[in-house]
Amino acid sequence: MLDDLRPGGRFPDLELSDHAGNPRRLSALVGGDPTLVHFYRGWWCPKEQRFLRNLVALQDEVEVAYTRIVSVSIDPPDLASAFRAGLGARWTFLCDPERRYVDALGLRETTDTLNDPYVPAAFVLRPDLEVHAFWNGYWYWGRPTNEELRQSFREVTRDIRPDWEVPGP
Amino acid sequence: MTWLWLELVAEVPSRAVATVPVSRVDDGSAAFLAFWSKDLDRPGRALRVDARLADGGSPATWVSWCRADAEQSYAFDDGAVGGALRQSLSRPWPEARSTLLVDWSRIAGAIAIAASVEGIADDPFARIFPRQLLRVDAGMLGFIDAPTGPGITRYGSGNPWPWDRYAGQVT
Repeated sequence: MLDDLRPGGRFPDLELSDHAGNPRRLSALVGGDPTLVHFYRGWWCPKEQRFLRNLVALQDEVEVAYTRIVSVSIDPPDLASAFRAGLGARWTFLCDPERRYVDALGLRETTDTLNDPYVPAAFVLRPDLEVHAFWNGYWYWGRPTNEELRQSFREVTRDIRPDWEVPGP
Repeated sequence: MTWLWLELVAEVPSRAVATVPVSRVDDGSAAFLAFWSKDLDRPGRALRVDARLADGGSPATWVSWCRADAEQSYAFDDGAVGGALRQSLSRPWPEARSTLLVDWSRIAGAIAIAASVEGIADDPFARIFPRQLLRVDAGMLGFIDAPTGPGITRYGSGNPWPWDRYAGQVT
């Protein structure tokens, strides 16, 4: 994995199609908010289905907390769109069926020669794409729990919101 | 964030910064989508809209115009509004969508535009507000990208959703 993907590094500004086939840039998707960017193998993986259901459970909090989620995989847009709809996810899925960034990020899962997917990995990014936290999800228990994501979002939010301490009269 | 005043009117109004000819699907009558600067006092019954809609350049030829009758409006935080926002994020995003606000806290409608009628056929806001379908020439209205999601809260009171950041924030 790229050293830039470690905490303190600057995450590359990916350019990929979203689940609807529209070109999107990661920096625009992150905007000004703490953002979870995670890589999943593909719609077919039971571990990914389980992990994404955790995120769906978290999205009712994320949607009111000025925080964002971006999911990335090798699934093409039509598959990603169907998977997203089936999950009930309301965030952006990015699609890399050409595997443009698999090697550039050092995230090729070499042990899966059938699907040739991304290694599952999760990152909480600051608005300037600095990596705040990283989880290696190759083994399922290496992935962040929703509580760990809450803690990480809280840390970034506290750092970037000048009014974290309630403004005085 | 920039927003403009917007209203569907029968005649070209004065002081508008942009006026887009449209026709009503139900009876074929002509009308105009008129945009005014936010620096003006509210022109008539105009509502706040994301200014990107006036930029032009999208291929949209269909408009879903959901607008409350008379001076009716809802609190933006009303559960029905939140539900429509969630549904908007769940389904395919059209060329553009914006909520239409009366002021910093009230919503009185929403607009969506698409290149095909399928793109706006099932508009979640049509369950809250009466809807008219309009036709517009391609290129007259602008794109508004889908927000990243899953956020449904506004960035600063008075700004129409889906604008997705605080003005001046580090990006």
